[in-house]
Amino acid sequence: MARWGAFICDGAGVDESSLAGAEVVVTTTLPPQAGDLACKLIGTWTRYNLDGGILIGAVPELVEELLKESLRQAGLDPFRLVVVDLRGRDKEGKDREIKAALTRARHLEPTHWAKAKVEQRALIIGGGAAGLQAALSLRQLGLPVLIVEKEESLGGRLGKLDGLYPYDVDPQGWIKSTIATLQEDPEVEILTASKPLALAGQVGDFILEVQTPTGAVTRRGGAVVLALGSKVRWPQESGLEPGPRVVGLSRLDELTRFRLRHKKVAFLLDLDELGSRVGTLSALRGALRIKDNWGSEVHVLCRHLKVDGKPLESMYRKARDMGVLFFKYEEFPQVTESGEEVTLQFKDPDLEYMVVEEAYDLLIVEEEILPAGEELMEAWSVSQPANVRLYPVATNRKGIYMVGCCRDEMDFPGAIQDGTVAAGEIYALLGEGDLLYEEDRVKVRSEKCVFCLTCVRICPHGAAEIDLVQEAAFINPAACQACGMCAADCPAQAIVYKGFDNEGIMAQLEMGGR
Amino acid sequence: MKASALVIGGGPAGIGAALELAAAGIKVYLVEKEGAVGGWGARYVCKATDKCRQCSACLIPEKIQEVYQEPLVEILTNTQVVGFAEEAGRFQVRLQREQTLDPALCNACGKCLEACPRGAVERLNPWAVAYSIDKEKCAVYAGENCDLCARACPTGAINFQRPSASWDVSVDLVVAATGHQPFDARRKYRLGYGRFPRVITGLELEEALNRIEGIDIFGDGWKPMNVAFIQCVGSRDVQEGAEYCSRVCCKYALRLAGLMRHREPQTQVTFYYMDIQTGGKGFSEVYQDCREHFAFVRGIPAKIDGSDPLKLHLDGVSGQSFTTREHDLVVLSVGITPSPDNEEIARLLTLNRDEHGFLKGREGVYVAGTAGGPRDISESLAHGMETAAKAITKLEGREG
Amino acid sequence: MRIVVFCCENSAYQAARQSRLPAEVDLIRLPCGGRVEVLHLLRAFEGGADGVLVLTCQEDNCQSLHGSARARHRVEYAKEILKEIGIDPERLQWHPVTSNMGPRFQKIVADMVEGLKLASA
Repeated sequence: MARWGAFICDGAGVDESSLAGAEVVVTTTLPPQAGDLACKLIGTWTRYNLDGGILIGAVPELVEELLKESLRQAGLDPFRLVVVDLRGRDKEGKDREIKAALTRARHLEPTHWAKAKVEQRALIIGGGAAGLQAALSLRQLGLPVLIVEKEESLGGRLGKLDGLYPYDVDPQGWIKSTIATLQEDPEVEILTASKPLALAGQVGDFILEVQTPTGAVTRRGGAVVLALGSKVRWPQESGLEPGPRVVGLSRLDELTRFRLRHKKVAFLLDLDELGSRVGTLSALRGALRIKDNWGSEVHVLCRHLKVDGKPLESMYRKARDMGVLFFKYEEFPQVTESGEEVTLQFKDPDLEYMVVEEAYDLLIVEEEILPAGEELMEAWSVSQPANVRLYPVATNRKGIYMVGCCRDEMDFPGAIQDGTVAAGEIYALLGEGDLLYEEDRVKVRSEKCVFCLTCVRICPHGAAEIDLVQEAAFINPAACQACGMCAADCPAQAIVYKGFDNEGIMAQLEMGGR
Repeated sequence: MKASALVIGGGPAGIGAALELAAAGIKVYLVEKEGAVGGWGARYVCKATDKCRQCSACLIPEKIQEVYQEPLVEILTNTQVVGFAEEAGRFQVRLQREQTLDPALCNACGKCLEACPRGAVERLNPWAVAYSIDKEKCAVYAGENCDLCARACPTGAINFQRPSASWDVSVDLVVAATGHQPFDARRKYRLGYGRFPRVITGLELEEALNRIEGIDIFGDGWKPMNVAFIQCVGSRDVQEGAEYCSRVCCKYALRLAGLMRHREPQTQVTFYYMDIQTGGKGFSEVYQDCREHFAFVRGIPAKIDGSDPLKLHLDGVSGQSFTTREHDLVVLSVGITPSPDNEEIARLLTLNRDEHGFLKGREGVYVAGTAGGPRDISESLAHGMETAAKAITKLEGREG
Repeated sequence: MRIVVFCCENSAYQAARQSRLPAEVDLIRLPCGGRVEVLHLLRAFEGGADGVLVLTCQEDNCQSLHGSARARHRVEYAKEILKEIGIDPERLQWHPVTSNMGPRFQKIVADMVEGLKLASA
């Protein structure tokens, strides 16, 4: 028989008579002060060797959390504190509430915590700015890393650009020095011209198979960072065709390296109504370069000038000072190509919707930037929808992080932020050397499992696995995030969720209460 | 790691930093000058319509709860940094705590709230564990004799005679997440804020929509039918010395307008703007929705007349057939400006400020969130996490 | 009158804690909206509930990605069953309520109480 104690808060408006007939070993009234309350609660709990407690009364919301934390610190199971909220209840309601709590308490079973050794190494897929920053921070935190890069060399898209970013740190210089630092480090393994093949395992112990130029290799790591970068797509919907006079923004560096003397150049931005901050950044940077290198006349056409980031407003002002002209359009311009020229005709709302017609000898068009590596994410059941709870770098799976352009449009400081945050998260996860998790919160009773794999299909966290030996599903407790979806959907009712099992919910329904 | 940190400011950036530092095993003193943590974000409304609009306001209560549950974080409300010294890479910080209302004794029973005739006792946000006293409203701070709240308090939490406490802590690093100040719309005299009751700020609209479930924002049964949002109030404004984009106003204005329309589908909305800033994952959808239902006028009204309805003068706004427009409610999308405390904080912590007045970090003293520049809730949280991660790396590097 | 409110503990339960709860309301706390089963909903009616609310996160910010959507689907499914057995399906409702929306929680509950009073009048 479990030993339960009842704790009545001062001001709850309940006397001990409400607990008549309740199977509790001790009933005590708590002082109003949060600090004293915790002391008395823990004191009584230990003295009477309680299995659990029912806290009755008008505690302010957060005190509940504080008490649970105090219990945890005192080595007691906070899960076994049932809180009864009596606000708005009359005498009869209060009594019912207390009885309901006792029912709830009877259905509580403690969960057990387990520790597992982790592989104290991070597996980073992608060696662009975000991936490099993650590697650098992790090394500074003392964790070894593996970097897998599909290209021949590290550095990603930014590594291929030439300077001229007005950030505190020069991105190209930073990339060069970071690569050098990582290459010298014996705890950093770099696999270039390599492709990740498969990912097995779960948080704390992932197993990654990589195709390298010299054959397939396998590496283990406790966490995975996906820094898959982005790809560009030509805006076909615009009706524009790439050619010698019409080029994509992503080819800008290639072009400006030559001394082609275009007299008049236009940047056409925001093709898909919204455009992107990064597109504007690249265009401003390009406009400044072209002014510098060629001295051409430069126009920038956009729907909305994106200035919501640190260097943007100052770059915009600098460009204007250097004589770059900015136009706005609402309806997409008419484009005609003839011989050596591209002509744009549009109405500028800032010029009283006057029709502007200008001929250029080079038109640079903003392309769409799309995340790369979707196939990989699908194969590994990793996703990061626009969900505030995953912001910035978390994914649906524990221990897998997404950084850089593969998660959102991003500039250099953004990539650095992502890499740093991911490293911080991984350090918190793997830094201690072991992973603490609830061993038996959600469990498959293998004898009841009919192996339909519903749970494997629906688990949003990729925690449901197949146990071929038992011919049953298996919920990996380290990866499980305890949402209970599998327990709700299991047609054989083979999955138990401690604390929220059907019996408990039904009993609660019967008794009422909060 | 047996290290300790001081985080100044309990908004999203401060909480984000504190949680990240604690996760790495660092003891954190989280200092908040107000009576409750949460910052500006705790006053904001959930802007979801049928869909989540990713404003992140709902993360605040969750993060507050998380930080309260974190044993390594010591939350010190009503507390300020009054002294600061640097010694061999460590920082000696003097903290001062106002103790009129002792949060450890307060159990938020509400008796003081009822007792105060001036409404000076308040709960800053629904997640505040204790009440706080608004010094501007309280009679005692105005020099009068009053102890109604103290007498009403059953736990003795309020005591005007209790002196403030000060003590020293020694920490390895400091994160300044001291936040920002919304632009004071009164400075734009011609827009009539402070003179005309139906010219309000976006922040006031946030708070009003957060208190209630309709659009009866003044609580008098009146419903706005024809709303104007004026963007860039105090942003991208050379005259105001705010030559930067505040980054958050377009987003919150579009979301708020969407929420008003969701609550009252008859509501008409017009945006007066320069450029709409729509960066960030998932936001394009919000913008497309707004584009469909709302009017957009490129140009900022120069002046508002306090007539009923309000008359907006659009002289010099190009390409429009009209020079005035009428609206029954005007919402000014006020931007983010550096906190007026920044000068003092910079002096105290020997920090530099950028050309606009935002704080810049240095070795050992980091700056997170809007103290360093405009950011929204989720960006502030992420920036807090980044700052903490950076600080931890530095610390590990030093020890290793 | 009795109203059973199934609450996701990440969102609606937080909102409930900031709200003044009418005496008719019983709360059932769930780890995620995805945990709710059709069986629970029907059992609530069987146990004498006049109205049942399932309040979860917004669909796009569910911690478990599809939890809220699944809750909504189950409510829709259970409504069909209610229709067949002659219970007004409006007695069962799903709404998203985020953690900082105490007023919304209160309004949804009040509307339900109001609706039930009208239905029984």
